[in-house]
Amino acid sequence: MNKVIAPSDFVADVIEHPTECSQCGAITRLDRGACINCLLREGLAAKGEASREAFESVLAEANVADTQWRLGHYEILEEIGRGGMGVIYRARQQHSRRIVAVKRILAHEVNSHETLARFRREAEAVASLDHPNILPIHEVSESEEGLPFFSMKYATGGSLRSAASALRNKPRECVQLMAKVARGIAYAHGKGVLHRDLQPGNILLDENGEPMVSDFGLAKWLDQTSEITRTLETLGTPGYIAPEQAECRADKLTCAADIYSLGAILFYLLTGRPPFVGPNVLAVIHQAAATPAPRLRSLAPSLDRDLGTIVCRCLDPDPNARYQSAGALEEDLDRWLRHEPIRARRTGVFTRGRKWVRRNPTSTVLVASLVAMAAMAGVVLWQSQSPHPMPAGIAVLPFENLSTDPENAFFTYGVQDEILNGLAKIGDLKVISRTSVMQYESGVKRNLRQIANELGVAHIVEGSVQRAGNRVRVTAQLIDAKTDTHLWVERYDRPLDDVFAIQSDIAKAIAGQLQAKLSPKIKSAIEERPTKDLAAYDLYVRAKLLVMAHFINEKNYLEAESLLDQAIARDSDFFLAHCLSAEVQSRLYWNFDHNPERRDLAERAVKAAFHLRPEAGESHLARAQYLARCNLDYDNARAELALAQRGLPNNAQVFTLLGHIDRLQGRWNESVRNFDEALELDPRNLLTLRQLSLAYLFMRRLAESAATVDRAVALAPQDDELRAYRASIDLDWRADPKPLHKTLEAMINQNLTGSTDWGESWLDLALRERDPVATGRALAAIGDGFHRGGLYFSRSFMEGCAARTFGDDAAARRAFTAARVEIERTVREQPDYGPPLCMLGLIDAGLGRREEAIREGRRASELLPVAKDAMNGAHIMQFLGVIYAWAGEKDLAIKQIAATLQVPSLLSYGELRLHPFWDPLRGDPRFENLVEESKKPVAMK
Amino acid sequence: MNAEAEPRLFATTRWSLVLAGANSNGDEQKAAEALAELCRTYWRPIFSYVCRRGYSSEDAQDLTQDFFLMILETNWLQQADKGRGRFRSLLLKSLQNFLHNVADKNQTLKRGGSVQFVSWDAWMAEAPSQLSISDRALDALAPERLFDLRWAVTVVEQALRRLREECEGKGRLRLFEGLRDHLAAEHADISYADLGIALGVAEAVVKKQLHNLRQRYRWLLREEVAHTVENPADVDDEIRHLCAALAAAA
Repeated sequence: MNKVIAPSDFVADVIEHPTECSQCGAITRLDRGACINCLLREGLAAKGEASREAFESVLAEANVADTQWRLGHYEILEEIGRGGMGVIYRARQQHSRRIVAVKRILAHEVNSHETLARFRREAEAVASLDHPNILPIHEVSESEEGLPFFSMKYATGGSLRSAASALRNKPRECVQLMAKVARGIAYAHGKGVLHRDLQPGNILLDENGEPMVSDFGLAKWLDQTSEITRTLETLGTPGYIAPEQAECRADKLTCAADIYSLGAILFYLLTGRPPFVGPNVLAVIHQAAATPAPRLRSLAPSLDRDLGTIVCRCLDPDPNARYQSAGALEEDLDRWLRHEPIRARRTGVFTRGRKWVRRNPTSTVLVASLVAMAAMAGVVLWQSQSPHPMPAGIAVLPFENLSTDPENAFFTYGVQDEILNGLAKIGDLKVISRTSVMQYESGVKRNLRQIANELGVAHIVEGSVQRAGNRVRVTAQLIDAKTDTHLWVERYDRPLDDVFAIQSDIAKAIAGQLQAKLSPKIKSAIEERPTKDLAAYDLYVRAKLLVMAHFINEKNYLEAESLLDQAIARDSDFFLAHCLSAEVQSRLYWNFDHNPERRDLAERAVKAAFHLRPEAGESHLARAQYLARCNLDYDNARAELALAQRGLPNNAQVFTLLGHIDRLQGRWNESVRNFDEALELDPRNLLTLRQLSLAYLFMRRLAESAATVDRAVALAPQDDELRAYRASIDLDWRADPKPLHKTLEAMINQNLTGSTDWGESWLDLALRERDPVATGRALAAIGDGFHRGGLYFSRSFMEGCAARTFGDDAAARRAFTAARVEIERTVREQPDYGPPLCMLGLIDAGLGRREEAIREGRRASELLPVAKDAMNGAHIMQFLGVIYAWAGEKDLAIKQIAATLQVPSLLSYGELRLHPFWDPLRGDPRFENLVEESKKPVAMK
Repeated sequence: MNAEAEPRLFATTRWSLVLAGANSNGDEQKAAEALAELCRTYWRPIFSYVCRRGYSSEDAQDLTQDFFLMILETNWLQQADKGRGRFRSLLLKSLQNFLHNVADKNQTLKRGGSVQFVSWDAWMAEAPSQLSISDRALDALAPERLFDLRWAVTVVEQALRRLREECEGKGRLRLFEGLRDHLAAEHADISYADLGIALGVAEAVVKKQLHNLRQRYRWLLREEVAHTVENPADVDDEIRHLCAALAAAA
């Protein structure tokens, strides 16, 4: 219903966790705030019978009959909304018997000048507007006690907030509604009225479901300069207000502020949450001003790209870059509804240029005219491209193995893989990566519509393979997932040796069906036979399956290495086998085996690939992997990836690797974008989801980090380790150990002696909870130690930390001394490597060797600064802070924390608030301020 | 509540009528009506569960309708393993089997066009849920937990709705509106004086009326729960189970 800024709106939208009930701690509430758990428990407290007769006779005693309840000539029926300044009732007009909504000021607010001003403002604003999409006011009046009130149309359909869940997954209906709302707002703007507080609770629906904008309590006239005092309450609803509403003077606001809100509401309808969420109002506003809005499709991958573009245009942090009017937004929404090309363009070179202008105001005048020209050129370019069909998403699901020999499963997989690879070379198509499709088993009935939804595609390819003697039979079908109709079906019955020709025929036929353009170059790339030797191909396929597993595992990689060696021994010209070998060797070097010989193997594989096909995208990708993982040569790897992308337009790995490199080079926003792109093509890749969540974690965008892990958990609900990771985000985010405690407890009860994957989290939790018993048990579960951000935390070091935490100085000294012996060896072997030196500094600080500790920590930080490695460098910054704190250098420690909080790092609110590392600083107001500061996302430069 | 008093008072709960009907020692017509009534009341937990299992909301609407038709038109209870179960758990189990079968056949049951248990629009309009909880918290719940949570909310909403109707019938809606938020509040948290001013009555009147409303509400809540169990002695257990479901969402 029509609401003033109702606290319940904040609860539902902004605060991800509604406030807990003060009586029982539960978070489920009825609309009006009553706790459901408490209401339910009342049932347990019943004493004796409460018959209807007895109840009604007591009820009749009360002299508060409904007939006495009036405001002016309105009979009040029930309360339907309440906010900081007013109450809204459903009421009946006495003579006409018409049902209306009546809004009155709260009795104790009557003397507030500001509230009265707002109240009057709303009445006057709406009285001047007459539009089918704006809720009309019938009458403005005063009650007998002098309470001002006004009556409005009663919207029987509730608000968009309550309708939102029914609208989810119905993007067309959402867009239709918002186009009408935009029309109403365009009209208001035309009359000179700015709404300034558009949010889902303020858009009401009438009996026919037509939207009407209500609550003009914060409205202002565009030509007026006077302004009511700005308080949080009069700011608008966080999550929906434009960032400039918090920043600039209200009289400087333009229509663009309302356009931002319209985009945010559409975002909410389509994804179920506003663009920015956070623990409090200021955090939300801060995020909206400091970070670009998340991509619509990162939260709802199945949504159309154009819709994402429209929303993105509304949510641009720069008001001038948004739609120029609500009318222009409405037109674009209408175009989208008519399947016509929209006017808004995707963020690209143009936008980056504009942002550059903002950063470099001196050359603004010159550049402005260039930008204007670029804008025109952009429109022309867009229009010339518009008849081109939009990329149609397609997923090639695993084929069914119809052969009697189960060994042929690999052969079958190979057939599917080749078709997928062939299609993926076509830039006109969006082809889902194999990691995401291989989870859909063949041989069982699949719900294609649901799969298409999950993968964000319109088309699906299914098929089967039967191999018998020297013959092979392949069937393939192309299905329109929305209508579940077959667009194309074909059966091929040929000699076994022809199998690769069948695959390229299928890929070409499907491309033809989808009207994708095939250049001669792409055509010949699709037709290329991977190898003449089917046995070698079989070995390659087995290796590929091992490499594709979700988590990187040394044993799998070594087995893949041996399979590829055998394949290459059979056919030394097997191009794809060399490329895969380069990937396997590079990964082995990077993750497990830092041995020059391993690096040479990788290099050799890259050379072999280039020797065979120097132009192929796969060759460039292989070299990029080698350069990035073996040589840490990120700039050249980047250049190779750009070349790889030309030949492999649908390769998610290209984007993932770019995301990794961006992150290491401190280009965090770009990194997020590249991981998003990778997920677009490979939406069910758990590794990529984890990498994205980690990027958000560093940027302290914890809500987004958590949401990303939630996506992964939904894909792998049985994955304990993943659930523990999710819970550990809550620990960092809200300093709330409960979720992790609960998750780990369940895991530990199931399997005390098994995997140590979660030992590290357990120990971290136990220390933060100051639980000595759990700490002891967790220490036993971490094995020899664990790596975290380039630092190796040995068991003895952690024993030292534990003893320190629980005040056993002698034990701490013993443990640190043992840890020092281990780390000294590493430092001797790699004197110029920062992380072990930093660890030595920590140990020395623990042993009270102040000066050595500080020297070592500082040297470590010089050796590996953030500029060189944005991730590991940030770790060293963080632990240099710990070294200072332990060495008793409070001022330095606080400075160091402040500096660390300026850059993306793993230093979180939960860590600062709870971890014993920081105990020496507790109570210092400067430290406590920094703890508060750490709740905010990193301000990205 | 005195447990011994209950069998008499809640003797003909809907669920016991349904069970009696299935045992062919009761009135079949009454049993069918009682079952339909229960389904009408508890559609939302079913619908939420189906949605959570990954169906689009259109499919979930269809499946929910199909499910109700299945249990109302077939001799569901004879097929279901009753095993002294409560309505809630039996319904969930049947729903799980139903969805499993649907998935097995990979088909959305095609109904003969107009056959609907109840008009979906009417349903939505008649019973807007008042549940307020973040989507994130909801999304984190397992489907079974979500089912129980929705169930718990429905029970509370039903009891409040009936209390409201009784007040309205006696021309005391304003009193109900004024006091409903305090039904479960602790005495220390209530300002009787403020409530008295708002309602225009003495503080003592507020105290007495709130006590009265609370007593009646508790009774209505228990009655609502009793409708879904066979043995009235199970009411406390059922309430505790639902409280646990709410705790899981915390």
